[in-house]
Amino acid sequence: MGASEEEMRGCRREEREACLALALLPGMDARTLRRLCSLHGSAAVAWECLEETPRSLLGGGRGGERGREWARARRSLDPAEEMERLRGKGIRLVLKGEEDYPHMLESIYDPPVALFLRGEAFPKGRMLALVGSRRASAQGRQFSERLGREMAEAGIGVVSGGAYGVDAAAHTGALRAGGFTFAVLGHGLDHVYPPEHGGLFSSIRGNGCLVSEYAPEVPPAAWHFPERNRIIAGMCHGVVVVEGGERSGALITAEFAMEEGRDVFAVPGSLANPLSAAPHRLIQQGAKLVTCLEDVLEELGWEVAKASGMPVKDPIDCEQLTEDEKKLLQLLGSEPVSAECLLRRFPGPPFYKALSGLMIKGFIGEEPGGRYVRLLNNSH
Amino acid sequence: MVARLISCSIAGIEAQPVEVEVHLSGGLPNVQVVGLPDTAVREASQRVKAAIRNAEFDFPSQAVTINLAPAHRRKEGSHYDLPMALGVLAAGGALPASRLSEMMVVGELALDGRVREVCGAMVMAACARELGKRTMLLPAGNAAEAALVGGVDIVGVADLPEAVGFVRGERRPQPPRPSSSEISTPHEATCLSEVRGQTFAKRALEVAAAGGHNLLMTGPPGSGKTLLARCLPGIMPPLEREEALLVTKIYSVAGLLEGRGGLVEERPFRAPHHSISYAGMAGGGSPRLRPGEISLAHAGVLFLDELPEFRRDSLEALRQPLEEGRVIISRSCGKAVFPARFMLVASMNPCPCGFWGDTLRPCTCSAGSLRRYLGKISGPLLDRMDMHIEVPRLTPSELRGQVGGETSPEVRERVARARLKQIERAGGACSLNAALTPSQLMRFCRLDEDGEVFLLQAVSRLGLTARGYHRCLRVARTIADLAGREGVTVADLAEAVQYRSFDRSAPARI
Repeated sequence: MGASEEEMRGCRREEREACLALALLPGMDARTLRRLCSLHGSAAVAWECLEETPRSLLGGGRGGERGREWARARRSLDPAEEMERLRGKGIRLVLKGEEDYPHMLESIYDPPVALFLRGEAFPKGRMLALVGSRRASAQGRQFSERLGREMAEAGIGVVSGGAYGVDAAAHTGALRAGGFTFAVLGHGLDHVYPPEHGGLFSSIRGNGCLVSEYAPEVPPAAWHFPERNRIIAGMCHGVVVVEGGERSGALITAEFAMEEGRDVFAVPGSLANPLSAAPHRLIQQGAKLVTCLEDVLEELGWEVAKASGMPVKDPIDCEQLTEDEKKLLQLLGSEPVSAECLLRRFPGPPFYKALSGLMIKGFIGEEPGGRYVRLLNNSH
Repeated sequence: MVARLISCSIAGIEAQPVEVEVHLSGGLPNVQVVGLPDTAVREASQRVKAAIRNAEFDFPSQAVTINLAPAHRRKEGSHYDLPMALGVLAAGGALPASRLSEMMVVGELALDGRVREVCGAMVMAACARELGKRTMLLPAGNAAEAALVGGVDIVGVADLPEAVGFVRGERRPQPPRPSSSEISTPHEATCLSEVRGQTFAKRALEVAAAGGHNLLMTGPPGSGKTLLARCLPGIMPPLEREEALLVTKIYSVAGLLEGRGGLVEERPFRAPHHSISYAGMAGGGSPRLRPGEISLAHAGVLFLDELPEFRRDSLEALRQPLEEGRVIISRSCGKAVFPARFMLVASMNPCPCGFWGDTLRPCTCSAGSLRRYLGKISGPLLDRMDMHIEVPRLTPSELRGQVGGETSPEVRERVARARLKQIERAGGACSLNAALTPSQLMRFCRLDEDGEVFLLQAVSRLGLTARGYHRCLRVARTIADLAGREGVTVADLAEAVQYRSFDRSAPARI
């Protein structure tokens, strides 16, 4: 028994190393890696028989050249050494079927052979994806942040990308509540994209995990992101779409989710907001319309962990507001209003004080173009 | 026989004396100019010869050697024509050499003997005063600016015979008209009341003008950014005497005083096109270093429309001057220091297509192109902007029933009062709030407890950066000065926070 366990472990290590070595081959992409492994039955065999790779997997006209390249690389690459290097960077490689591999992901049509993980917690337990536009409105960002926070409070792992807008807001919300959050990236873990998210990524690493199917050195590329979306959808029990344009990547994620039989939830928005297009389309196609976390939990049949986190209290009655702030808040609706309009009805220096005060207290948000909008409720 | 007289050359905004020596000797008639002359100076011999003959004087039929001393310094420009011509006549005995040695002479000659205007007459006159010359002989058109210097008898001549007549002591040309404000033409600044709506942006302009704060305006095409910027000279107080003299000097050296004559009294407003080169922006050129746009905008406004379209190196040229208020240019032909304490006002679209955040048209930019666009101006330059505001394109319904509001002179009065307060407090030339040193900032912008709490909240909740924190303090100080308050209150800070749109919306931008 002990010997066979030992053997198994050795086998697994060998398989992991082979997988890493294959992933590091020049010009290797995730799809070829999958096909190579399924052709040979395992990564270790594929690595051993690399020279016998069929031309169809070497890609079009450059087949011969690619084959020679790989043969050269195979001689110079030492899988064990590469694995050591990876470990030095704090990156783990988990294979399909291993414990830390997200178990939901195994059942999708083309699961990644291996995932690179970097972080404290590894994807386990209940998980929901929260996706949407990179250029979300202030309201969209606020809602995502709240949903992320509530999911974290309910013990649900948040899964999203690493982009601006909804992605960043969802992670921020989950991190604020001390929950687990997972960023699935469209590039290797050596990179930070967008570059401004270095800080966010390192906090995700501390309280969740960065996930990628690309080798660490692989830079971001446009076609990686749609491919990555299948992992976001695949890891989760359901996908919540917050805001997205007509051709949003969130729609791709939702489509993957539907194909894999995951639930799709959509948060409706204003008709005047072009970013309501994606959620509205999904609702027409049968996605569940949700306005809070409870709606999602109910649909999934998960128990509501705690009472509704949304106080349905009119902020006008809020005691922490000054008279001027109340007066200004009444001038604002859910549609963005320019400072010009506000100043006409609320002229003079007190306007600025009230405006900044309300922004700090989280009652109003700012839209691009110098317009202001009332937020759903105070999120601080 | 050798005739000597004094002229000068220009380096930066200073002039240095140049001695013009003319020697006649036997041999075939020809003219030789030595002493590192550039092409314009070498060509002077042709103009001098023609002018002397056409003015019906005798040009010696001997070999003429003209030396410009010190011979190691490069000479440039056309203002040596008149001294050369007088030197030739003096060497031939037609003029008393002793009278010539008392004066400084500059001027360009036309072939028919008329005297044309030159660049930099004002700094040349200053040089004459320093040398202790009693008289300065120069083109009539330059007399007004040269007279601003004082302490030198300025004699403007219209043609060569007039100059000869004066040197011979026969007659004195008409004295120059005293420079006065009616000579200088004021700017055609747009009046604030011509801009409909944009109350927020107008207020920001007022604050920027009062404290000399650099301002960045972001907005879609047609939102009125350029129009707003053109209002600025109209709401800034006129130049102080000292400033005006310096600005006039710079314009004199750059040869931009034509038609204006006297003192420049309005604040300069420079709006270079975005194709401008590094040398055009910072100053440079060969063989004489000329002031660039940043120096021409000294004590006034440098307006960069479509900021991200500017060449990167031209924008980098702004960095040192924005900190130090001057630019030092070192080239093989020499070194020059030009003053460059200007207020930088820039405008840009929110994205490459221009319509992000616009209510009337959707934006078609990808996240990548937007990042590249914003990347062009991020970093050091953005750091030096005290204020950034969004200028939305107002919808017809928002514009309906809008009136212009206050006129520029009304605002200008408030701005002047606020500036006066700043000068009283800080003293010295660079006493505007935008130029306060960190220690002055600490002294003048002491916050009470409420203010501290407010700004810290703004940092944590609105994404204000550490640098933004200090910029906010400066701007809040100006807002308090406009209101005539001694201390900086929360209301002032709250308004200043509204002028940091890039800090606040950075995460939402891309």
